[in-house]
Amino acid sequence: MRNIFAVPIRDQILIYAPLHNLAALVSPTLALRLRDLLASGEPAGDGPLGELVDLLRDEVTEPAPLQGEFVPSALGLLPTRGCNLACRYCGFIASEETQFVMSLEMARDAVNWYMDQVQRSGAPHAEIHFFGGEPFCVEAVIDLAVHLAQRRAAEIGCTLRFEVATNGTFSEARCYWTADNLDTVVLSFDGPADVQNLHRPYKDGSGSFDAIARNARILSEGANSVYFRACITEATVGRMPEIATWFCQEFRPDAVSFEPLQPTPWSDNAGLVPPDPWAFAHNFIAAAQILEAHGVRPVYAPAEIGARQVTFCPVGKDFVIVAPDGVLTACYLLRGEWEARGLDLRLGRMNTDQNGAVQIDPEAVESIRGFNVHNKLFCAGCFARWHCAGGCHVNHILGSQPGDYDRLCIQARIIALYNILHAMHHDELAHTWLQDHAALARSVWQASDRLADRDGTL
Amino acid sequence: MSTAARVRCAPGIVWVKDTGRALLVDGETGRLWALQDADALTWELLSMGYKYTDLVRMLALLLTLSEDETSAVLDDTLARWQAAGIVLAAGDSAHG
Ligand code: SF4
Ligand code: SF4
Repeated sequence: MRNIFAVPIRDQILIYAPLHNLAALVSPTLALRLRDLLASGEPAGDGPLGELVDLLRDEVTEPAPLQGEFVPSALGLLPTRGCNLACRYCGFIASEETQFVMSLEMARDAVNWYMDQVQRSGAPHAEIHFFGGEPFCVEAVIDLAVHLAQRRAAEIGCTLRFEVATNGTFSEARCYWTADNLDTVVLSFDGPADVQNLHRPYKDGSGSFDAIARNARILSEGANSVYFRACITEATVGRMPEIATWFCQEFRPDAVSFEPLQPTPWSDNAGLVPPDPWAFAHNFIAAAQILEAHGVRPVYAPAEIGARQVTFCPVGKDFVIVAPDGVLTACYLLRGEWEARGLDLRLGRMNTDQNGAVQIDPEAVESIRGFNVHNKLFCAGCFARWHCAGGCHVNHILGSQPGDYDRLCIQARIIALYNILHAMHHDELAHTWLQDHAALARSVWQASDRLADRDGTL
Repeated sequence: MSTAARVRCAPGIVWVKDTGRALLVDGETGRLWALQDADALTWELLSMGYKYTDLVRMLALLLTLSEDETSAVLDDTLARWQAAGIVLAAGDSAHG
C-alpha cells in the first residue's frame, strides 16, 4: 500500500496511485473504507469500490536505480564555463572554472569514446547535449562534435539526437545552422525586453533582448523543438500569465518551462528574490492554461506527472558530462557548487596525455547511482515522489522532519495536484480548490500522503 | 600562406544540407552543385566563417588526416571551387 496516496481536495479525497496509473476522487468515508479493505485483504465485493480495490491490489514495480554494467545513457559536452552574458543571478561569472575551454582533441576523444560505447552496447540511439556557460562561445567544439558524431552514427547505423541549452545570443547564421542541425534548443529567455534586459544583460551591461528575440523567431520557424526556460523572481511572478501570452503571440515555442529563481550571492546582490511559492504555483497554473490554449506545453519539471523516475536529472542516470578540463561528471553545475555541499559528482576523467583514454571510476558510478529517491526518506510519503524524486541533488536541501516542506515542495505539490485534477478533467474543482487557501494548505501540509498513514480524521 | 587563406563563399550561392550532401545553387545562373562527404563538410565549415588554419585543424580531426595532408587536399578543393565561382577571394566584391 506504500504507493497509494490520499490527498484532501476540499471535501473530497484524491486517491492517487501513480504506479497503478490510477487517480480517483472519493469521499473521506470511502477513502477510509478503501484503506481498511486494502490493509485487511478482505473481499471488497462487486461495484465501483470493489473494482477500485481490485485495481489497487495489483502488484506494481517501483522504479529502480540503475544497476550492473555502466553504459552511458547520453553524453554532455561543456565546451566552456565562460559566457558572453553577465546574468544577474548567475554564479558562473565569478568562478575560476570559466577559464577552461575544451580542446578540439578532447571533444573528438569524448565523442569517439561515447560512440564506441553506443556501438558496443548495441544501443539503437545516441544522444549528445551541449551545456555551458554558453556553449556557443566555443562554436568549433560544437561543430566538430556534431560532424564527428553524425559520421560515426552513420557508420554504426544508430539514430542520433542533439540538444543544446543556450542563451540564444548567437549570430543569425549560427541560428540558422542550429535550426538545421540540432534537434532540441533550450533557450534561456526570461520574457519581454524589460525583464530579459534586466536579468540577462551582456557583460558591458547592454541588453540581450534584441538578439534572443530575433533568434527565437528564427528557431520558431525551424523543424527542431524549441523550449523557452524563463527564470521567475518575486518581481515577475505576477507577470507569468502576461509572459506566457507574449511568448505565444510573438513566437512558437514547443514548451515553456518556468523556473523559480535559485537564490545565489549574485542574485542577492542584484536585489533579485525568489518568488513566493504559493504565488508561483497560482501564476504557473494561470500561465499553463494560456500556453495550453495556444498548443504550447507548460513545464514545471518537478511536477511532471507523466514522469516515473528515481532521480530528477542526469545524476544517477549514467549520463556522462565532460567538463572543459577533462573531468567527467554526472551534474552540469560548477564543480565548486557541489563540492561546497560536500558532494562528489565526478564519474572519472579523460586522460589527454594517454590518447584521450576515458577512465570511468566504477566506485563513483555506484556512489552516484545512490543519488535517488529511494535514499531520500524525506520524500517517502510524498505523492509526488516518483515525479519530483526530491529535486536537484545539489541545490534542494530536504527538510529534516516529514512534512517540513520548503518552497520547491510547496509549489511542486500544488502544481502536481493541479496537473492530476486537470488530467482527470476536474478543472472546475481545481479552480475552486485553488481559490480556497485553507483547502490548498490542507492539501499541501500533510506530513505523509500515504493512504496507509491516514487516520480517522481524513 | 596559401591563396586559400583569403577565400570565402560566394554571396550569390544558396545552399541546403541534405542527408550528408550540400546542394548549392547559383542564384544568378541557376547552376547546381552537389557536394559529397569531405567536400560537403568543407563547404559547411567554410560557410560558418572558419579561417583557413581553423578549417585545416577541424578537417584534420574529422577526416583523421595530418594537418599537412589536410592542407594539400583543402588547397586543391578551394582552387577548384574558386575556378567554378562558388568561392571568391576574400577581397573580391560580390559579383553582380
Ligand atoms: S517531498 Fe518535496 S522534494 Fe520530495 S518528492 Fe515531495 S515535493 Fe519533491
Ligand atoms: S544535481 Fe541539480 S544541478 Fe546537478 S544536474 Fe541534477 S538538477 Fe542539475
